Amino acid sequence: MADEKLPDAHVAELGELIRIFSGKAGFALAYGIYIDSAHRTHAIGYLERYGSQSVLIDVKDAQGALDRLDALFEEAGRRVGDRWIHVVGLDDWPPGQHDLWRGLNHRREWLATTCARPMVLWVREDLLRGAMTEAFDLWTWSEKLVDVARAADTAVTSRTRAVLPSSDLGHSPVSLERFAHLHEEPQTSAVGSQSDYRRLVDRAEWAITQQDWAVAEALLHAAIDGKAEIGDNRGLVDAKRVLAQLHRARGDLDAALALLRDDVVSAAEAAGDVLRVTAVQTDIAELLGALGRHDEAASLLRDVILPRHTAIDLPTEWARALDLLAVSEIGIGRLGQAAETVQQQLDAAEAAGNQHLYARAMWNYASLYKQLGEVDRAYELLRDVVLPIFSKVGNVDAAKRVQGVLRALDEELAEAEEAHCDDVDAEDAALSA
Amino acid sequence: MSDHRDYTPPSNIWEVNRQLQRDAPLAYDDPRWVDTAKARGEISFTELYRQLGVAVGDRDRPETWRLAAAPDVAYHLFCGHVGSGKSTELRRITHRLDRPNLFLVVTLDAGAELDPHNLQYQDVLLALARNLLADLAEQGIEIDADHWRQLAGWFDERIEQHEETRSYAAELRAGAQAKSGLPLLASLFAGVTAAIRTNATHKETLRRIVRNHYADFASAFNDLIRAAEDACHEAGLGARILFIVDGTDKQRGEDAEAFFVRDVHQLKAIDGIFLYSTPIRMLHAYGALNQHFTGVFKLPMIKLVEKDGARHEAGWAAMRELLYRRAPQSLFERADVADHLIAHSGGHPRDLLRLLSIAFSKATGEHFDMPGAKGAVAEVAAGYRRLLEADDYPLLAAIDAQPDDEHNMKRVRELLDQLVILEYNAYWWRTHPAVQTLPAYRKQVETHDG
Repeated sequence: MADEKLPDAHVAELGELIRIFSGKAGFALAYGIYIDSAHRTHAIGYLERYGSQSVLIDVKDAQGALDRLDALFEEAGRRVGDRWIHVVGLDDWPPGQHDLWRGLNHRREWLATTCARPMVLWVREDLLRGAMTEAFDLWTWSEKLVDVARAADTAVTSRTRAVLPSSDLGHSPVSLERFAHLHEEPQTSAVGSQSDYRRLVDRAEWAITQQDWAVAEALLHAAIDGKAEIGDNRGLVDAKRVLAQLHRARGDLDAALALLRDDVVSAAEAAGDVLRVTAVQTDIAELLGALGRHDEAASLLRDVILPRHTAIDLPTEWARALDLLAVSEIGIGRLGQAAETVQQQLDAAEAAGNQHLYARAMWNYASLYKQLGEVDRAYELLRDVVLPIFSKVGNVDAAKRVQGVLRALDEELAEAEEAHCDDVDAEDAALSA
Repeated sequence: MSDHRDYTPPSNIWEVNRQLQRDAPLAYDDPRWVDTAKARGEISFTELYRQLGVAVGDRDRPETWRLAAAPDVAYHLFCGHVGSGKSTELRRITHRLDRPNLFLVVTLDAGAELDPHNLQYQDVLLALARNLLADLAEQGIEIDADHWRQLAGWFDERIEQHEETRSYAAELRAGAQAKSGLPLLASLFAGVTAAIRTNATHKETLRRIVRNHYADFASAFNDLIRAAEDACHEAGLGARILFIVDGTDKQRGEDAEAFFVRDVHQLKAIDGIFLYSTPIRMLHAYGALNQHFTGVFKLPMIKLVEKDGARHEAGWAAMRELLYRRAPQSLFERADVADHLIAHSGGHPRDLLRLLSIAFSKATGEHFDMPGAKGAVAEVAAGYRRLLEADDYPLLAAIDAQPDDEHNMKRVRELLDQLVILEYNAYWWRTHPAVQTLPAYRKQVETHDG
C-alpha cells in the first residue's frame, strides 16, 4: 500500500497513532474518520506498513443483529494475536444506527476483553457525531481521533495553495473534501465555470498522486482549454503549474522546466499576480537545482526571487526559497555563503513555525559539515535531529532519503576507518623495517 | 479491572504510554489511586457511609468503624460524569465496607457480567440473586433450607416447568448434578444469568417469566436475603448485606429511564440495602428520582477553580498527584507542561489521561513538551467541537457568565452528559476548558463581555 498516496497531514496523524498504539500490550481505541473509502484503505495500508499487521472486521453484514456483531468480534479476538484491529462497515448500517452504537457502547468492557489489542473504528465523517453521542462512554475511551477526511489545520485555501510549490519536500497539504467526488469517472468535456475547471485540476492532482498519468493529462488539458476559453488567466497558470508537476512526476524535468519558463511565468506576469510569478519562479529554481544547474538556480533565487519576497508576506515560501538557495550554494561549493543562507533559513523556518523546513535547514547544515570533511558531525545531525523530525511529522519520503544519506555516510566513515587502519599498518611495517 | 500487581512507575514516556489505561477502573489498593475527596470540593464519603448506618471512626481505618443503625431497606444512587472515577470509587467503597464489623458486600458489574444493551431490572435482580448465592456458597455459609426453598421452588415452578425454558433448565440441572443445596441453586441461577447475557431467545422468555411472576420472585429473594443476613452475622462475615451495582450508569435515554423511573417500584420490592451507579443526566432529567430513592450521592468533578474563579489548590494537588503517579514529574520538560494539561482537563481524570496520551504522541523528544501539550489540547477541543451546534456557544458563554441564571435545561442536560459542561460540587457548572479554547466560544464570550 503506497504511503505516497497520502497527504502529509494524514501521514502525521497516522504517525501519531502508530506512536500511541505501538506500546500497547492490550486494548486501546481510536476512531478514524474519512470521506472517501480509498483514503481509509490507504490509511489502513499505511498503518500495516509502518505500524502493525492487522485484522479487518467488516460489520456491514451484521446489520441490525448485535449477536452477529458479537460473533465477528469474538472471531477477530481469536485471530488477532499481536496485530491491530480495524473495524469497517459501520457506515453501512441503517441511518440512525442507534442500536449499533448503543450496542457497542454497552459492550465496551466485553469488547476490551474480547479484542484485547489496539483497535480503530473507521467512521465516515458525517456519521461521527452520531457515533459520539450514541456511544459517548466508548468515545471517552478513545486515545485519538485520526482524521484522514481532511488535512486538518495544515489545509490551505485554494488561493494560497495556488501559489504553493509542487515541492520535493513532500506533498502539499490539500483539502481532501475537494476530492470527495474522485471516484466518479473523469469528465473532460467542456463544462463552463471557473469552479468546474478548478475541480478538473483538483482531480488531476489526485490522479498524479495515484500515478494515473493519462487521466491526469486528459483532465489538465481539458481544464487548460476551458480556462483559456473563458479567459481565466490565473486559473490557467495554476493548471499549467500542475501540468509541470505531472511532467516532473513522470521524470521529464526538461519538459517541466520548458513549460514553466517559456509559458507559465509569462502567463503569470500577464495576469499581474506577483504571488504566482514568485511561486512559478521558485518552481523553476527548484527544477534547475534538480537538474544540477546550481549556478542558474542560485542566481535566480538570489537576484530575482528573494528580493521579491521583501514585498510579500509568505514566510513558508521565503524559507523554501532560502532552502533552495542553500542547496545550490552548497552544490557549487560556495560554503561561506551557504552557511549564512542556512542560518537565515533556520530563522525563517522558526518564524514560520514549520518543523519540516527546520529539518531541511538542519539537513543543509549536515551537508555543510560533510563538505567541510566533518562526516561524523554530519552523520550525527542527520541521525539525531533531522530523521526524528521527518519521522515525527510523518514525511516518509524525506525520512527515507535521509536514511539513504545516512547509509552512504556510514559506508564513507567505515572506508575512512579502514583506510586509517591501513595507514597505521603501513607505518608500523615501515618502522619495523 | 486493571492489574496493578506488577505496576512499577514508568521511567520514560514510552512506558507511560504503554501503561496508560482509560478503559478500566483502579483496584482499591492500586498505587495510582489518589484520594480526591477534598479535591472534589470537600465532598465526604462519610455522608454516604452514615446514610448506610455506618459510624465512621478513624477515617483511614475502616476496621474501627461500626454498623450503628443500618436501615432496614435503602436504595441509594451513586452518580457522576462519565470518566469521573465512579467505578474506581465504588471499588474503594466496597473494600472499605466489606468487613465483618460492617457488611457482606455483594457486587455486580452489569457492564461485564450482563448484556448491558437494553438492560432491564429482571436481569439485574436475577444476577444479584446469583451473586449472593455464589458468595454464600463460596464462603461455605449454611442457610436453613426453609429459607432458600422458596427461591428453589420459584425456579422449579416458573422456569423448569415452563414450556419454553424446560429443556434449557434441564441442561442446567444436568450440568450441576454433583451439587446440591445452595451450591446447586447458585449454579442454576448462574445458568439463568448466562442465558440472559448471551441467549437472545431465552433472554426475553426469562424476563417475561420474572415480570409475570414478580411478586413470587421478590418474596423468595427477600426470604433468602433475610436468612443470608442472619447467617452472615452469625458467621462473622458482616452484620448486613450491601448490594453495590456498577455499570447501570452506562444506560442512556429510554433504557435508563425504564430502569430508574418506570421500574423503580420493582427495584424497591426487594428488601435490602442497595447502591446503584446512575448516569448524571438522570438526576437533572427526573427530579422525582430523589423521592423514589433513599439518597443520591454525587461524585462531582475535581475542582480546579472555585465558582468565583479563585484557584482551588486541593484540586490542583490531586490532579498533579494523579498525573505524576502515571507520568513522573521528571518526564515533563517543564512544570508548566503538566499544568497546561491539568488546566485543560477541567478536573476530569479521564480527560487528563486522554490529554497525556495525545501529548505523548506529539512529543518530539523524550519528555512531554509544551508544543505536544498544546497540540493535545487542540485535538481534544476539536473532538468536543464536533458535538456542538452553533447555538450552543451562546448558551455556554451565558452559563459561564451567569451560572445562577435559568438556562435551556434540555440542552444543558445533553451537554453535561457529553462533558462539554462539567458539574462541580455545590452543583455549579462550567464549560470544559478545552471547549473554552475554541474560537467560536471565545468570540461568543467577547460578544457577551462586550
